[in-house]
Amino acid sequence: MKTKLLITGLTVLALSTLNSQLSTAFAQGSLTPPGQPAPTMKSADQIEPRTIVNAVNTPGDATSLFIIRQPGSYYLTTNLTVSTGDGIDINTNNVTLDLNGFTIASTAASATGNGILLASGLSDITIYNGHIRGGVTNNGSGVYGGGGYNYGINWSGISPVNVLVSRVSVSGCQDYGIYLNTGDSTVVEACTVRTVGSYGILASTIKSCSALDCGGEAIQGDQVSDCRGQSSGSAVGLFANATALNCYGYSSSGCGLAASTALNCFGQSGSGAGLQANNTAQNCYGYSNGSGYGIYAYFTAENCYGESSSGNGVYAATALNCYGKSGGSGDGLYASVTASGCFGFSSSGTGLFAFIANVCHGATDSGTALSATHNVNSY
Amino acid sequence: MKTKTLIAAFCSFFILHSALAFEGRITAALTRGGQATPLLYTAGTNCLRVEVTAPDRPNPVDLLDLQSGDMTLLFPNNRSFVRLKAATEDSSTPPPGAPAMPNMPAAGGMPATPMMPPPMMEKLELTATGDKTNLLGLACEKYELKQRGETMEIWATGHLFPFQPYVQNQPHRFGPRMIEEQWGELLKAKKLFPLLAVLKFENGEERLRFEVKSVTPQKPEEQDSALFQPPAEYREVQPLPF
Repeated sequence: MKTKLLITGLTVLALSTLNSQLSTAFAQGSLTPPGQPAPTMKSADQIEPRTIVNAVNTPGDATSLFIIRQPGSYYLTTNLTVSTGDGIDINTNNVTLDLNGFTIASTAASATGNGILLASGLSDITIYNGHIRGGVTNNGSGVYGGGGYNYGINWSGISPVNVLVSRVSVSGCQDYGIYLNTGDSTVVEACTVRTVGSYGILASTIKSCSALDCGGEAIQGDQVSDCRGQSSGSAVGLFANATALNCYGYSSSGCGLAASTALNCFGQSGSGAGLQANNTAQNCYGYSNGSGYGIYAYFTAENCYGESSSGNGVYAATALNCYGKSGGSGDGLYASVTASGCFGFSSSGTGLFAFIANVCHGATDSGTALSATHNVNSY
Repeated sequence: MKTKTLIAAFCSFFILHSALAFEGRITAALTRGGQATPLLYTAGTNCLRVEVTAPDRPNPVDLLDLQSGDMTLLFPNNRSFVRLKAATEDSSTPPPGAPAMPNMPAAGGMPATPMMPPPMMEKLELTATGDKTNLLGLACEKYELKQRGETMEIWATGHLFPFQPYVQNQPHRFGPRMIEEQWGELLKAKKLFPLLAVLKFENGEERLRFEVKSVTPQKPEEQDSALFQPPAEYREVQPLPF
């Protein structure tokens, strides 16, 4: 009998660990309320030391719905919609603006104003966590039109410094999406932009962002990492003045991705160059669906694959461990100085051309397989 | 008598100047990698319009003030335009705004790291070969550009106007520049216009070709003045701050 009781008890205990209802049924506490809440002895400002953006705290004017005139931390408590002009103007330094997940929208019949406008020469500004939306669309041929905002986030006069824009999405603007400045302390991270008539995102440091369907350059920065930029016109899809790392760029007719140094990147173009590195391309893939270069590296291409429908697959001064392919009469791989450990193929052009070809191989259907001024173990 | 002479001299100068300034249209083709882009140059009095005539997409249009060198870029895709001041720097030097490489600070008694030298770049120079010919009825001289073993041959004339390469976007800031990005500016600096320019790979294949197809002197009509101004419905946007 004792054994049966023990087994039953253990079974119930085991079940109670599997079934939360059983578990809580055994674990419920006292039903007596703990008593009245004690006073915190804190003012409302101490509990929420931030300011709501509204007509009382941040009254606007004829050109802007709300204006932030004092340094501090501000947040939205509702969506904002304007029928003309700007959503929020920031006219002072040291401002943090939490969009709090809400949307700043414009229903202007023709595009005008800015979602958020920074006054001239501001510093120490943070904007995060929300959305800016206009009504501009792309007609499918790269022509942008409609209503809403001209700019998502913009500035006037002297460009701002010490600016961070984080987790903001912008869509449907006639000109720029998020427009700060390069060459200075501006950071845009984890933001998305879609359907803007000109630049998508422009800032010094850009990371983990995506800008698609942009009439101009989708993304331009100094250091760009883990980003995707897509231009619908002749502008560069993603442009990094210094380094592009783990990025993808696409352009309909311009260069897909251009950088001083491109690492682990993929550039693609409808008719222009796939990927252009003004210094070095490393571990990159470039593709041109037209006559542009697959990969153009001014100095060195290393561990790269470049392909072009009718142009040159890979062009570099020095190509190391690269593969170049031309589907037309272009060169598969062209190295004006040295190609080492490379393979080039061209349908009807030169498979691999190099001044010095070191342990390389060139192939072709109807052109010249290999052309090397100095051939070292290449064929 | 002196006044009459002065007036006559002034009129002669004005007539001569007017006769020398080319006004009319030039059609050309820019071919890169086998893909030709048709271009139209429309020259008015002290102004120039450069555009792509292929109707495949809303390509930007360049308007140039030939006196100041200031350029206006029109963007038909979003009906905006941007005014760009004339660049004054040597084309072989970095553009303004390019940051200088700073010295690294000294640490732990170590001497400061010296400034890193910029990459060695071969300076591009436009060299006259002395060869002369006549293309499309215009006297031309042959020039060469050489960089990294590549040679660009250019037949250019001084009887039109300083060349303006077609510009699609606002120029970028720094990084080495390819020969394709510099030849036009070098011609412009010498007030030359190319009638034929060919850049070849070392293996002889063409990498770039600019070829003028026709030159039509024609003083623009009054209604053509609109060609040299941004359309009224276009909005001005600020140039990139660098």
